[in-house]
Amino acid sequence: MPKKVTLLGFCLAAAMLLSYIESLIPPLVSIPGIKVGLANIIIIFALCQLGIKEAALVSAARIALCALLFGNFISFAYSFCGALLSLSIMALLKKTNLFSLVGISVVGGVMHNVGQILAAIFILGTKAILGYLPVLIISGTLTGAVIGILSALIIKRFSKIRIR
Amino acid sequence: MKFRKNDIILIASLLIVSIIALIALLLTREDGAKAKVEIGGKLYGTYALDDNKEIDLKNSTLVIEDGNAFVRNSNCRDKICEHQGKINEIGETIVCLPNKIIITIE
Repeated sequence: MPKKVTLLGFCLAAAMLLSYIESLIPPLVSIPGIKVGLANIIIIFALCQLGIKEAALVSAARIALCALLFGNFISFAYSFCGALLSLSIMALLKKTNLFSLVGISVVGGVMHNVGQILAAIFILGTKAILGYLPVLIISGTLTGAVIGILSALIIKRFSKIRIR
Repeated sequence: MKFRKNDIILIASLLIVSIIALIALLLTREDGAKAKVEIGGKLYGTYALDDNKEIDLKNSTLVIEDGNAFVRNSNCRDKICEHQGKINEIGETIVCLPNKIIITIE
């Protein structure tokens, strides 16, 4: 148990650090919602090495703390919807065993954007933003693939160290 | 770690479908006549594009100039709304997520 708490704390700290680093990078393109999603590396790591509940815990704690530190309630609502949809679908896909980590992460990235669009439709009260969906799916696919490859590399490195 | 065949199919189909949707969206665009501003889901105002003016949106300014609409002086952090530039075709939008502003061309 103490070991697990330490490990979850480590994951949370790493995820927050990555979120912070990402918040320092200025937006590359002028489309709202396009992000690399570095913190997802940790969420995928937690999902594979620790389990669904643990990954959800790290994800929820990261979003709440990041909103408090660098965001506001609105940014919290967007991240929360994105992360909820993304993690649930990734967990489901992982169970089916149809895809490697890259495929799982791609779907996670796309679902993150879909969740945020759904939140935006609700918050802004308009369907006009659906027009961003194609661009966001493309960016979610590409960033998801990068994050998937990075996560797989990190999990491979960590498998040599006994963490449990 | 290796790519599986399913991964490639997944990535390729996502990219192909969204690129086709994107091209379809771009091809079906027409010049618009009005800019509709909604803040927090409520209609704030509709402004004709052929009439040069500046509209105060509380947290930013909407500028209408030579048939284009764009945002200036936003108090948000990333200024994505300003960087989205000038819009003038039906269905084009400028979104400011932090200020809950959405500007749509009609």
